[in-house]
Amino acid sequence: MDGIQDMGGMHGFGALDLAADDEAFHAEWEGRVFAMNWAIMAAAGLSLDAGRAGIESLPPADYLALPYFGRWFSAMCNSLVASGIFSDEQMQLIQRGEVPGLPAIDPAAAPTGGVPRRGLDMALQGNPPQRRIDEEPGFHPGDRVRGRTMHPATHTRLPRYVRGRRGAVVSHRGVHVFPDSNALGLGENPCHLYAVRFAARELWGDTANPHDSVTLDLWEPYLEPA
Amino acid sequence: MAHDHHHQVPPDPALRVKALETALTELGLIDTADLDAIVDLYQNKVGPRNGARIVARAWLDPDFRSKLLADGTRAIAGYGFPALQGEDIVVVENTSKVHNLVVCTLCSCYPWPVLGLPPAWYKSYAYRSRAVSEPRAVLAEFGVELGEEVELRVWDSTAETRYLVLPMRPAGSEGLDEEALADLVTRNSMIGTGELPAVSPAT
Repeated sequence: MDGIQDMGGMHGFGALDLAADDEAFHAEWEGRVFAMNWAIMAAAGLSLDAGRAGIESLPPADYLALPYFGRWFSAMCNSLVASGIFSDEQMQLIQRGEVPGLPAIDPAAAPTGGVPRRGLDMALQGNPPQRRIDEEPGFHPGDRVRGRTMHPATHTRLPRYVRGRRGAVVSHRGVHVFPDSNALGLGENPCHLYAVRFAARELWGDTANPHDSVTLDLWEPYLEPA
Repeated sequence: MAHDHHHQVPPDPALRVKALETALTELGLIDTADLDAIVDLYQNKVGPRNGARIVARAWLDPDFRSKLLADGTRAIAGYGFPALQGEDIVVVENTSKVHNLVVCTLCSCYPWPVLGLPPAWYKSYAYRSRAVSEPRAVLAEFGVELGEEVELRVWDSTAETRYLVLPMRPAGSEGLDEEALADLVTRNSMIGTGELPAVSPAT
C-alpha cells in the first residue's frame, strides 16, 4: 500500500539523533513485544509479510506517533482480533491493562495448519524465503529495467521512489516468496528476485552526485523491460 | 463528567503488554520461558561482535573473504548464529573507490544474526527517508566525508536479503590477530555509516 511506511526520499524528518544507543530494548515491555511477535507468528501461522502489512495499515498519524515497538504491539493486537483469537471486547480489556476472562478460541478454528512452531525455534532456525520454481528468470544481470507504475491498496515492497524509473539488473537473487500475495494469505507465489541498481540522478535529479546509486531487491512482477 | 472508557488515556504500555502476555499464556499460545529465551538471545547474545568476528576473519583469510562475498549466508553458516533475519546474507565490500551504505526505507530490515537488533537511529524516520536521497549528507552527520569521486552505493533492503558491509581494514593493523582485529570493528562500519580510524602504534 502507498502508505506512510514508504518513506524513501521524503523531506521533513530532520537531522539524525545519534544519541548513544546500543541497547536492543529500551524498556522491558519492548523485549516482551518483540518476543511475543515471533511466538504468535509461530503459533498462529502468521507470515512476516502479513505482520509488515499490519504495521503499514495503522493510521498514518498513529504510525508516526508510536514508538517502534509500539507499532509492533498495535499491529499484533489488531491481527489477534482479525484472526479470531480475541474478540473486540477482550482486546479492549487488554488495552486497559486487564486480562479478559478467556473462553475464546476453538483451537480447531485457529489459523494454524498443523503443529505450531515455537517462537524460539523460529528465531534460531529462521524463516527462509527461498523457494524453487520451474520458470526461467525473465531478466539477467545487465538488463535495463523499469520499476512498474502501480498503486496497490495492499502490501507491496516496491517503493514509490523507483516506480517508473529506469535501472539495471546487477544480480539475480534467486526465487523468493512474493510478499504482495503472501501478505494477503493468497499464497507464496514465489518469483525471481533481482538486485536492481538505479542511478541517483535517475531518482533525484541533477543535484545528485553522478557517482551515487541506490540498489533495491525487486521481484519480477515489479519490473518491465526498459 | 464520566469518562468514556474507550477514550481514557491508555495505561502504561507495560501494563497493556503484560495483559496481552498473560492472556496469550492462559490460552496456551505462548510460553513465558520461550519469551524469556528470545529476549535473552537478542539482548545479551546476538550483537555486532558476531559481525566483527566475520570481518576480522575476512581481512586475514583471503579464501574466507572470497566465499563471504560470493555467498554470505553459506560462509557464515558454520558460526551457529540464530538464523532469523539472516536467511539471505549479502556482504558488500568497501574499497578506496566504492563505499556501501545500508538502509531499509520501508521498515527496519537489518541483519540480526551478525549485528543484533538495530539502533534507534537506523529505525528513525530521518534515516529511512534520507539515506536514499541524500546519503552524503547523512554520512556527514556520522562524520564520514567521502571524496566526490568515490562511488556511493546505497542498498535499500526491500526483500529478505540482508546486507553486511565489509569495511576497509584500518591502516596500521598489520600483524594483529583475529581477536585484536575484531576489537577494531564498529557496528556502524558494518552498516556503512562509520569508517575505521588508523591504528596508532602501541606505545
